[in-house]
Amino acid sequence: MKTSSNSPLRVFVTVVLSFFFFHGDTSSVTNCSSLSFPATVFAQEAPDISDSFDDPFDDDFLEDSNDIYVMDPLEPVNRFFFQVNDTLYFWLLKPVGRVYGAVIAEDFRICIRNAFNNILMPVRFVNNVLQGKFGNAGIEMSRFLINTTAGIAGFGDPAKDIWGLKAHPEDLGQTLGFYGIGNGIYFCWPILGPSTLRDTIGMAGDSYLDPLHYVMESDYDTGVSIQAEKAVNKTSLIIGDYESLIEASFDPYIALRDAYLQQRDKRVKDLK
Amino acid sequence: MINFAYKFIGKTGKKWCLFLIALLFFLSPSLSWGGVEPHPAESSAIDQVKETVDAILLILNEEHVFEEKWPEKKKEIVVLIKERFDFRELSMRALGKYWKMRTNEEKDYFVELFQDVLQNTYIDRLKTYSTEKIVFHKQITEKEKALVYCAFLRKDQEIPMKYRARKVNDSWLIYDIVIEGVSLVGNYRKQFEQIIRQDQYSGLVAKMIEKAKKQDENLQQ
Repeated sequence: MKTSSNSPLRVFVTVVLSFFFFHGDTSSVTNCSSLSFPATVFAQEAPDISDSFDDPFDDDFLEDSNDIYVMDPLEPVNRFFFQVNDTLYFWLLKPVGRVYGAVIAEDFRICIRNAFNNILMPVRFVNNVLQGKFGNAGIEMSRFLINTTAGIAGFGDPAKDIWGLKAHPEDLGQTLGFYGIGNGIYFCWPILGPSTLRDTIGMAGDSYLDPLHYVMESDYDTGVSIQAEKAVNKTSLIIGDYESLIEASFDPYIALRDAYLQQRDKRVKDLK
Repeated sequence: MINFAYKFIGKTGKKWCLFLIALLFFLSPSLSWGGVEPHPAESSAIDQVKETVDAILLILNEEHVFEEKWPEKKKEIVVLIKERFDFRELSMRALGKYWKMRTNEEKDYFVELFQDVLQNTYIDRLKTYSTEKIVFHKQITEKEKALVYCAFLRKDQEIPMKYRARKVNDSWLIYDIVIEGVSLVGNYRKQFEQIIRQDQYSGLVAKMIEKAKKQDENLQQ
């Protein structure tokens, strides 16, 4: 019944976004850098500190000149939703996560997170294959088979603990980035948080490989409560991370946006 | 038969010889710090960073009456951090292109202010991180700069971290920390850029002073 409200929304979002997308692809990245500045430009402008900035070594090694810029035409809206999410986090998700964490032992919460991660294997497998990373796709498949059986429905992670098989997470946003598709414009979605056009399309695509998506389609209420449990469980394990970023910042919105972009860029490039 | 045996020994002997040469070849760089460091220094970046981190963790892991002794411990940590961090370089990179537009007095003031805010924010956060461990993996050195790879271990996760350091008179000074691919200095650079573009440099300084004041108030409570 609620399915109908779900998929048209997704289609709508995808269509609207694809409008921005074709304006906001690679060409816009260059536009964007002229609006702001690529760090290499100020290397030439700043002879007095040339030692630190003019160093060719800086470019690849220090990654200082590789600042990532993104178009943010929706900044006022994004800032609004940033505030909404921030409030939701501090007033709802965090207190609930705290209580949840006090009731349920950490080890067990880690097991629950493992199980949620385990059923997302199709996303990682398919995206590894799409990027030609067949070895990693094989590892993901082995991890799934081992953890679903020996790890008891994915609650344990014997694949890592015993066989040393580490996870190789990939998603559709990363796959698109792998083939050179730029971020497009930045979004701060209500509840979902920071994303870009590319990653939003990725998320929508990946949701078809997410078993929870089908649970949601057949039984909306159950789906939502599972999603909520997933979010609360995850939050309970990382309380403090978001606070660190916000407390240490002078403009929390920009801090979160840049942290997101830097982290995604690293993941697309598979840097360690 | 004998002929064949000779041939066999000769062949395997040669193989062994080759193997030994190869072994020596591969081992020799590892004797002098894994071959990653072109100029072996007195003390490498990874060692020096590890030394400071270990010293801080040692202070944090002393358990007796933690809350009461915190201000005292914090002072000890501040001393360690001041020795190992290059706040001037850090501030310079955080301001980016706006650094050169400042007068010397402004630069000095900015460094002081930024340093205070950073220390107050992060050192107090260390209290909650005391149970975590940090493992050091490797370093890459080129000329006067180094990248130290490490990770902090949570219960079941390893969170990758990098220190960027530069060499000043035989000691390696940290000027950036990269956690899970997010550069601290880079993150501040974006924020400062935005604030300066909107409210000028004076607006940024005002914001920093305000933050420092708030932190002082929180500390006194």
